[in-house]
Amino acid sequence: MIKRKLDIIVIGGGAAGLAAAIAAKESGVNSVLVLERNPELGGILPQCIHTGFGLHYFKENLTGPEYISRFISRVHDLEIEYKVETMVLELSPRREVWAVNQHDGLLNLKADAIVLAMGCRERSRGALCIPGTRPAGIFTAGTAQRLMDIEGFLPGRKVLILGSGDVGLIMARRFAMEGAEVMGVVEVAPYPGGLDRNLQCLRDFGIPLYLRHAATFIHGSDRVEAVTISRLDESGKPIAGEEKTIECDTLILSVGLIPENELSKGAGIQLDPNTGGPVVDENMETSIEGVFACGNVVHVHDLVDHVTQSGEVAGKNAAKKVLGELPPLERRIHLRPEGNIRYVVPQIISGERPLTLFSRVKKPASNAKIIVGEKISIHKRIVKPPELVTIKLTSELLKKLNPEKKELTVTMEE
Amino acid sequence: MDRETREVICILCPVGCRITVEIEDGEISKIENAGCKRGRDYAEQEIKSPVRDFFTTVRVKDGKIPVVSVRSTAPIPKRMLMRCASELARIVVPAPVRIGDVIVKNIMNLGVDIVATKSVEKA
Repeated sequence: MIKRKLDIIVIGGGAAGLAAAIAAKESGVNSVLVLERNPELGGILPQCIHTGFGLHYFKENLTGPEYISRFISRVHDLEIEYKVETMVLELSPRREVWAVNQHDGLLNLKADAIVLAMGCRERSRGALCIPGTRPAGIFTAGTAQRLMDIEGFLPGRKVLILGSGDVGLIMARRFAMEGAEVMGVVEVAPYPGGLDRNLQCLRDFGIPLYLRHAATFIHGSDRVEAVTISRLDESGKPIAGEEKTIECDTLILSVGLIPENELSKGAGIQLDPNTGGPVVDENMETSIEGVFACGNVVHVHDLVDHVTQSGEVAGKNAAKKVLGELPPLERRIHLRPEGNIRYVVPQIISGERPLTLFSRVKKPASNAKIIVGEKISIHKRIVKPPELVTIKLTSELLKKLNPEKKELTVTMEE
Repeated sequence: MDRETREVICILCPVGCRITVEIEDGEISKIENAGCKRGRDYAEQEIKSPVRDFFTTVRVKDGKIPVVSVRSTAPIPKRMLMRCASELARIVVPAPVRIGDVIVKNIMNLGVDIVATKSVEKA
């Protein structure tokens, strides 16, 4: 068994983890180690071959592989150590990491700071309980994307897509471009789950979008042969007699992403039931001192640019912790989402420094006011569930906060 | 007179205006519901000559992975997407491939190149 002591361990080598490792190293920390489960660095980005990445961070329109390659190059330039095909088995509350790989065997690592950057996982068929047979040909969108864009297989020729999140819409276009027949995209909500700009993926190829519909039966013995979809009533129940059976050989699931927090739970880190990720303060520090978190493990983002930024905040602060330059927050004000606000990140702020809060709403709204505490009101022309809402708290606005308060509600008025 | 109304979903910002464009005898006669000037211009372009970013994969011979992701250096006309895709489906490039390598110069005479968006090492 290998035993080592490091300054910082970053768990996860995707967009968040690499940004954190780079920021930490640039802040003057010597030993930073990135642990990655996949055979290559980059997380999901090497398989996201479409454009639209980096518009905010680089002010350029990049593909996923191009975006992440800039960070991978920086990791090499800074000589940041990383281990791929390395699985972290356990994280202890004392910042001890157990990991394993074929080359080193078992690793017992300890660090002054840990950065959690495990990202998120896709929800699968089991989580949906779709009745029917269990044939081959059912893939999550991310798996299909990996098969097509890294491994070079076309996973199906006649495809139905369940879920209109961004990955689902992008995969609809990708399948169409590769010559597959895309039978439609099925969405339970009355509005699309992805960003508006991604609806173009369907329009360009004449792919039908079935809103307020659910998959209610999967047919086929060896391979998927058809999927029955049903129209839903207002309460979300299938309406009898409103079924439609669509012939297809493949069903793609794009039905939500869940922050991957098995390690966080094992360490006893406090999680936020609204995000599925750790509760973090404005330094991106979790409930365990010296353990930071960033990116999709904290909450599911829609733009990688924001993931990178959160990684940078976590990495910088992890470095400060190691260097003894991170004092505890002057005050700890807990933010509590209410009404149409589903969650707010970070959940704990000091109220002393300007920062941007990230929030997601439950329902679309226009001309809305986001109210923080009693006195801060921020106008938003339009908010939608698929798009993160940013709430900029400037020094000017923070002056309005009551310094006595330990808890503030974040809510919305229409 | 030939009259048609088309809807364009603006993709320039999160508002996502549903812009309606009226077309009379092949000419744009009215653009409505655009929230801003950029949106108006976008809708006009979408009707007159829509363009799209183009990206796909190309087969690699003897690479660590069997395909390399590629893109066009600039958007291409929407109607050319599938033709460019079919053109690239016939190509196989030898490993190694470097990010930024030109895979096809001036594809279909569109004045744009197809470049690799990642590096693929030799197996």
